[in-house]
Parts: sequence; structure tokens; C-alpha cells
Amino acid sequence: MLESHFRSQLPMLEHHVTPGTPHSWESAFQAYYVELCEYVLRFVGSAEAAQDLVQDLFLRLWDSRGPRDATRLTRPYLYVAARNRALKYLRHRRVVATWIARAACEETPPSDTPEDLCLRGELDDAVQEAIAELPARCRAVFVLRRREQRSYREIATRLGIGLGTVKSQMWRATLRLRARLGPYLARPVISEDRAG
Amino acid sequence: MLRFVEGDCSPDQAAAIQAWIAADPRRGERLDEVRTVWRLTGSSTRQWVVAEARIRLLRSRGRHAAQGSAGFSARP
Repeated sequence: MLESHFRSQLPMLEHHVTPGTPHSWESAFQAYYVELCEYVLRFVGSAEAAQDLVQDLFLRLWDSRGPRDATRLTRPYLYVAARNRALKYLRHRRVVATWIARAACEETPPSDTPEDLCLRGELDDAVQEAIAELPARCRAVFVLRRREQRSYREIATRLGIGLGTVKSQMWRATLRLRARLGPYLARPVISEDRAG
Repeated sequence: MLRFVEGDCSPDQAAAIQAWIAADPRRGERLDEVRTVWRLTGSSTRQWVVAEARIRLLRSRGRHAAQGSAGFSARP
């Protein structure tokens, strides 16, 4: 439905469509856009930059679409391409070399195996418990931010507290959860090597 | 550091924080821990609006197609 909507808005695209390709291209975008943005964000630290880089990647793939799409529109290829673009971006912006070296060690997060999903399910209980143990205001701020994706300003208004308080409570919640979940932070399924 | 993890930084702000983190390995460790807490407590770091991204991308694609920009490559 969305595709037909876009096509009606951009009829000129019809002249540049290769049969079979748009579906794959659209599918790849739909399937991987968010996780690629998450991945690139780890390199660049700016959502704005991450979205631009991922968009640019898909745009270039569209420009050079062809027989190799079967390879290029796959998760492994997209991750390598996104990583290379992110590193190139960091070098272009003359970000300190130490950070670039650190970023270059970021591994591609693997797809979840059934074992990963099982372990993650076990962790959920511990996470829920840790969140429930947070002080009331701290918990309210954290849940509104992480679960309901509210902006800091929205949270401040909703809870009737200052913006600075929201931020400090959020940081406080993070430190408490880090301490509480410490034993789990080193588990392979959630370690930085595996997490995306 | 939270703003950095959540991506709420401009590219310039991010570069400053990257330099700050890179200056002390302990800050890098703290960053990893915060990221892991985030990973454990939500499905994504932030709310990515895919529908808007699709619209932006399709518009850019239309412009590229109109300009006949066939000279780009996408090698990884």
C-alpha cells in the first residue's frame, strides 16, 4: 500500500525500475534500516548523521542496482558497507584517531540464534526486577524514556519536574541498573561484542 | 554520555564527546556498560521513524534518477 502511495507521488520512478529489483530493494530497506541506523550510531554518536549515512548507502545501492543485488541486498554486505561508510565519515570529519581505532573494532552483530533468544528471555526477568527496584521517580523517568520513547521535555511536563531533574534521574537510573545488572553485562549474548 | 548513546548530538557535539571518551579508556568502558544497559532495557536505542526515512529516500532516489546519476558505486 505504501509503495503504491509513493509511486503515485513519484510517477517518474516507474521509468527507472528494473523488474524484480524494487521489491528486493524495498524489502532490504524495510528489514535493515533500523538495525543499520543502530549500528552506525555506535560509530558516529549522532542520529542525524547515522540516518544520513544509511540513507546514502541505500541511495547508492539504488543507483548501482543490477545483477549483483542478490549479494548486495543481504545483511552481511549491508553491514560491511555501512561500517565502511561510518569509518570514512569519521575520518572525513577528522575525529580523533583513538576513537576511529575503537570504532573499527565494532563487530557486526550476528542474527539472533534460538539460544540467544532463550537467554535473552531469561534476562528479561532480571531486567524487569531491576527496573522495579528503582526509586519511584527514577523509575517513572526511565520507563517513560525507554519504554514509551518520550522526549525529556515531555517527561518533565508529564511529571511536573524540571528538565535538569529528568536528565539527572535518567543518569541515576542508568547507573543503578548498571550496578544491579553487572553480573549480566559480561554474558556473551549481551556483551558489546554481540550487541548491536 | 547519555545524549551520545541515544544519538541526541549534532555531529560536532558527537565529535567532542568522541574525543573526550577516547582520552580515557575508563570512559570507553563506561560507554560500553551504558550501551549494554540500553540494549537490555529496550528494543532500540531510540525511535527511528522508518516511514519518514522511506519518504526522504524515495524523494532522493527520484532526484538521482532524474539526474541520471549512474556513476556511483556501492562497494563495501
